[in-house]
Amino acid sequence: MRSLALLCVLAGSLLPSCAAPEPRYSAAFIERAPRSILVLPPLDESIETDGTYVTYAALTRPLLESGYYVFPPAVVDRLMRENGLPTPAEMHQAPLERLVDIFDPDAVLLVRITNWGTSYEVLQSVSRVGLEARLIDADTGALIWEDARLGQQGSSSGGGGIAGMLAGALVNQVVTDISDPCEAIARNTAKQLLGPGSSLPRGPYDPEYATTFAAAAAALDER
Amino acid sequence: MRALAASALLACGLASCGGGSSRYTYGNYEAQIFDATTGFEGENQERIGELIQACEGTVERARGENRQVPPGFYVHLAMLYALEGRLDETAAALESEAELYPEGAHFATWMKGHLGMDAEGGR
Repeated sequence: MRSLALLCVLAGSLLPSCAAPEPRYSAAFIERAPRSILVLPPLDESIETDGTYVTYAALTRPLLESGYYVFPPAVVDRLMRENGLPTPAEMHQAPLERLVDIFDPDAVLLVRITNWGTSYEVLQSVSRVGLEARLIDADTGALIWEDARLGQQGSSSGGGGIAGMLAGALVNQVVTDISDPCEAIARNTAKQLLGPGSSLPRGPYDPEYATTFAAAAAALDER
Repeated sequence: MRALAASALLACGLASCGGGSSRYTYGNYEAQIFDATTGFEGENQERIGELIQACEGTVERARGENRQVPPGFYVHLAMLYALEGRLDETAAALESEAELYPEGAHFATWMKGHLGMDAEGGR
């Protein structure tokens, strides 16, 4: 199911003109009509571990731009740690009732970093960031929306034949030592996953909330 | 050091897309989130002071632009005030959040209780 979703996403990005995609939200999403979202620090399942808090910071703005109330991540993280949950894995196991007790969110967003890193080949390098997101109804625990995005960026080799291409790969490797290209890719991937225009319906602070929400409900009814 | 470089990058990232029609006045909120989750182990007071100043600047700018700071921003600022022991300002920031965004009112009240302030709902 998940790999199918990923496949759709990949196909979608290759074929921008394909038909309207299947809604990623459920009838329970429409019923709940979430206004506020508690985002927990993402689980990093990639080999590298630099991605967690870069990604956590990057998830907030797209959700805000989509019109949702988003609980302040730095405060959420600090409170969780103070309450004996020092890692994202433990935070993801926190009982929903306790989260509702403290934050009273409508929904909880759980994100997994499935891919984070740069692979170097002879003539080029490719950086990838993969994110999977699941939105849970805070009261029932039901999954009400999910989607995934894989962002990637290759080094451009420029002109100059083989020598130029080698230089391109080298320069890219040097630059990468200073700034991880995955950080920019993570921001862009988060935006595609959660921002306006993503498969997540608009939230209540979007000026077109009423019409877009009605359309989202209608799209589900037609199926 | 690495955290600093990353937050500088985040700030650049925000600056480059700041010209669009964003819903809120963000200031350096994204960089702040990164800093506050990774950047001040050991409660670096000087750094916290800088973050507070940046937040206050963002609130001012929002006022000048006749826009709002994003949901959660005032609670974030309240946390920073609390870390400096500035409890009057902590309470005021929590109240601003609750007034501006009703979805955050429950948590703002909980925070007051958590910090030992006069509020129901804490435990």
